[in-house]
Amino acid sequence: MVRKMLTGNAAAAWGARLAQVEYVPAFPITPQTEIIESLAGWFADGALTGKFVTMDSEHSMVTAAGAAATTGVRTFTATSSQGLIYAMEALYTVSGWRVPFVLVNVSRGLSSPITLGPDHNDVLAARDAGFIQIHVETCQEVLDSVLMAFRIAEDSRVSLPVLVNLDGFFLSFTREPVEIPNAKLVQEFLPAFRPHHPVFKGSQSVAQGVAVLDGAAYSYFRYQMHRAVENALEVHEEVAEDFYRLFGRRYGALEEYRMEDAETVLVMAGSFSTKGKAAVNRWRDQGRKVGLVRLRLIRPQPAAELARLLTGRKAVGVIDQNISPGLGGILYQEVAGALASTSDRPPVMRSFVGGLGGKDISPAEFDRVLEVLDEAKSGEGHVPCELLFTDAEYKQVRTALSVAGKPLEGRAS
Amino acid sequence: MISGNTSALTIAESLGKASALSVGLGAAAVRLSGLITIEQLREAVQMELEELGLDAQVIEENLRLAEEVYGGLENVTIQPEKVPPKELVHEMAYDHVLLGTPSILAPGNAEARQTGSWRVERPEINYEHCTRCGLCFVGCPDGAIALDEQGYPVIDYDHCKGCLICLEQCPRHSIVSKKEVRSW
Ligand code: SF4
Ligand code: SF4
Repeated sequence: MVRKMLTGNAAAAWGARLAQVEYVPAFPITPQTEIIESLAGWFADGALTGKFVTMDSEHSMVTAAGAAATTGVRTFTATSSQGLIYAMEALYTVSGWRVPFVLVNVSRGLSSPITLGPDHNDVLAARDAGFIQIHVETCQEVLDSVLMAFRIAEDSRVSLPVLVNLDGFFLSFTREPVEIPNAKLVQEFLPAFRPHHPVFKGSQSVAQGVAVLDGAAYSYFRYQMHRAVENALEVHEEVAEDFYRLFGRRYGALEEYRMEDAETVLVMAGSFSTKGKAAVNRWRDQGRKVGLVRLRLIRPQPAAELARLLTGRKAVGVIDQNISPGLGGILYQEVAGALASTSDRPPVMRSFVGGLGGKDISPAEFDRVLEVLDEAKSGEGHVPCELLFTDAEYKQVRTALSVAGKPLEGRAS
Repeated sequence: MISGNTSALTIAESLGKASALSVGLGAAAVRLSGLITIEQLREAVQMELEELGLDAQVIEENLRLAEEVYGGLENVTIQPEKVPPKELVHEMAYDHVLLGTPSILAPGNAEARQTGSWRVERPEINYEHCTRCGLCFVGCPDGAIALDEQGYPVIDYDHCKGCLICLEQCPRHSIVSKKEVRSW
């Protein structure tokens, strides 16, 4: 076992290298490019054998990844933001083929306006595509999750692509100490890919991507995909157990942080959970009983466990690093849905949006979240989501607007 | 339900034809629904067939059929069933990925699907001018043209989709296209 200071991108590439991937279709996009550059280097110097192919677009890239997986080779690819959105049609198509491969998405806010910092609107746009989704918090978790992702994807109870999401910049370009697992142990954890789905072979004709043109057949295959994604919950648990046994690090579908006696709970996803944990520590020092639940497995949704963790608490605040204009935070809706039929729901549930495009969530904004949760009363009916923003940030934007010539004299104020 | 002024034969003939659209069937359905007047039916048939570019005479024949069928059926009152028929609802479990994947492993079953039923344009070969060059046979993307013992092309209308590539290919212009929709 080696410990190295790796960026999240390098950790993703190391995951693919240790999984001995045989085919990587690639297309560059900030902040993901370092992943495919690292892999290109390893295919060139022989550390990896197989094929690394640069494609003309992410749409082709994801199609190629799916097609390669139908031939039974272990396939890895990576993208970000606009790239994932551009590949959207292909995401749905290849998951319909029920082929296992791993796609790393490095989250980045979507256009327009163009930005490079992270939020989760890109990856959540793909949440219904039939991919398993794992959202990670640290660089170590990036590497570990890529290895786990191959095991889950290739299990016959699942046989679907798995998307591992890491936040741009905060993980992609940040070095953290990462343990690179021993290659022999990885082989024990993740043996060579033995496909369960029908593969293309010279000696065997298979038609993939067929039309069914009838609602019953279509529904059957969509329901099967749903069941397969659901199965990933149990498979993730088994895989996490194996991973713990071999490598000593344990990952749940959800991560609990200081939850034992927590009355107020923050729910977050991704690297900004670290900021949430820091706020929890600060509040704990002040004697407040606050905890945090991090959503790691987004699809399948670990609804029962989520309900188990949140029922009986006094207040739950979901901080979404995404925005569905006209609705608010996306994951808030999912958390609320998981609690809908429980009897001991938290009397206060509130939705917050923050950290869009990599905007910080400052201690002051976390304090605002706690204040809102403290002051909220049960049975207030629908309360719109709170948009986290600071005065200093507002001033900064107004300064930028004035540089851009706004407001124009006499036209706007 | 078929009464005096329409012969059973007319209706049976009209309903039995495998055309893309059956005016007779439609007329029977709207009559039974009791919701559509004869004027509305005429208007609908007119619009639908005009959009297909059919000749006025063909449209007239269809309108006559629609009226015959509509007038020939008695007014019936359909009693909604008080207790809906018991249908078993399936509990969907996970099937092995080999089953639950929309892929086809058994070769040679494409023939079973009669793709010819989608056809709107129907290619017809004028054998008087055909030189048996075979270009249409080679060009058909669906393999729906075979050559007979004398080398003449024969179109398999069960599978010809009506793309008219054969028509474009034919150097002798001896393939013509006809509207697939018949009078009924
Ligand atoms: S119309 Fe198209 S499908 Fe039909 S015979 Fe001609 S080329 Fe083949
Ligand atoms: S292309 Fe025309 S001339 Fe040639 S075989 Fe076909 S129908 Fe005959």
